[in-house]
Amino acid sequence: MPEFEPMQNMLTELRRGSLTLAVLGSLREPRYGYALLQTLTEQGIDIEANTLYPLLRRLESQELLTSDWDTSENRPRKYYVVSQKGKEALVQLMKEWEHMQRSISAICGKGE
Amino acid sequence: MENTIERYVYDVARRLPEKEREEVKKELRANIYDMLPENASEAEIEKVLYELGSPASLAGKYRQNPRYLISPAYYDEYVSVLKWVLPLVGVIVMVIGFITGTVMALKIDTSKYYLVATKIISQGISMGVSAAFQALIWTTVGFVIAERSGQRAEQSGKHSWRIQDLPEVQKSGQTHIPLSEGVAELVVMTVFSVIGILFCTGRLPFAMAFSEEGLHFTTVFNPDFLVLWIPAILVTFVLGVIVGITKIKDRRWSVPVCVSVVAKSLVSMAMSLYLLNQPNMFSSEFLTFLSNVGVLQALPQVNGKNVLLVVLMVLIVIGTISECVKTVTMTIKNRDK
Repeated sequence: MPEFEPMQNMLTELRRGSLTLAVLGSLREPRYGYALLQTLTEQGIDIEANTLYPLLRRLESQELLTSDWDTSENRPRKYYVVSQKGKEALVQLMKEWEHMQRSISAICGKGE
Repeated sequence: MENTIERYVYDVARRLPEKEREEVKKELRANIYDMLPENASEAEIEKVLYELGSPASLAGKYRQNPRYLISPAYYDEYVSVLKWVLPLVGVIVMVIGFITGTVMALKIDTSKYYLVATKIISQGISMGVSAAFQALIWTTVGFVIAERSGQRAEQSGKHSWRIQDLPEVQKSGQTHIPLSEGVAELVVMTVFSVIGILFCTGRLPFAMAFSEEGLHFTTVFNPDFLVLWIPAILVTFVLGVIVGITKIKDRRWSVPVCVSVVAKSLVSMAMSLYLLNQPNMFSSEFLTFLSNVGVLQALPQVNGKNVLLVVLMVLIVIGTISECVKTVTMTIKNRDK
């Protein structure tokens, strides 16, 4: 845990954009909110519930995700899955991600 | 225990647009229950809710467009306008309040001086404060309207700003005229012209004098002389408005600003000198009063004119010349760069 506060802000800033990528990628198969939170945490993505749930709602309103309420169990759960538009967005974002990773590595140098 | 969750969910949802509330409530409720074990204790519920954060902050994250009364895009301008509008309006109206307070107090009773003083001060302060609040409210309303209409323009795909609106780069010499200067000039011009015309048409009983019976009204100036002032005030007002508008438009010492300032100064100097040379300036009552007190005899005459008048005329000429020289130098400096 960095005790330097601007450092914490920089890390949060850096992660913010990639969260969309992680969420869209994980939702190639349907998941409900809390299950997605656990999946992401297991994969080492540091995201809080109060960030993820509003993000899901935003992505849904942008039609990158579709959702379905499952009422077969005793408690209703909302399942999200990536839409066709979301898949296309994911491909583009991945390209950009790789491009940026190459550029940053080239600029900052590896193992320095 | 369900009550705690319901209260939390409700507190988040009530901060959101109405059409989203039900869906967010349902989602949030499901998510919270998923985060809890079966038959969770009150302590476990509290832990989860604290993890989600305050309802206000969570609602803020749910909101698509953060809503502001006045967004950062307008905030700086809003504060800088308030900084000069509030004191200016407050002080001007307070002075008007002092004057009307004086008039009102004198009409009621002039024998008790402390009552007169209280009336004047309370009238001035209450009018000044309420005018400042009015100014605050209307400035805010104006900016909120700008904020809302600005957002709409952005949504409909237009640019939210224009290249033309970019401010000129300020040069190191102070040749820039702040917006406040032009606006202040317009406001002050209007206020003083209105007061001046009220005074000259006899609607403000300005003049008063002390005598053995206490305060009583006399007219200091001759009414025929005051009538001459009305066209002079109107001409100065029109020229002042032109100066104010060119300053607001150009915001630097441009040629139109220079011409209008010089013209205004010269015209008002000429009119003041003409008016001060009128023979029938003061009312006969006031002249009698002055000679009774002994002021007239004490002051020497220069070329048949009272020395105070001569000094006043010299001051007006010096003031006008220095104003013109300053304006012209500023304009020349501005053109050189």
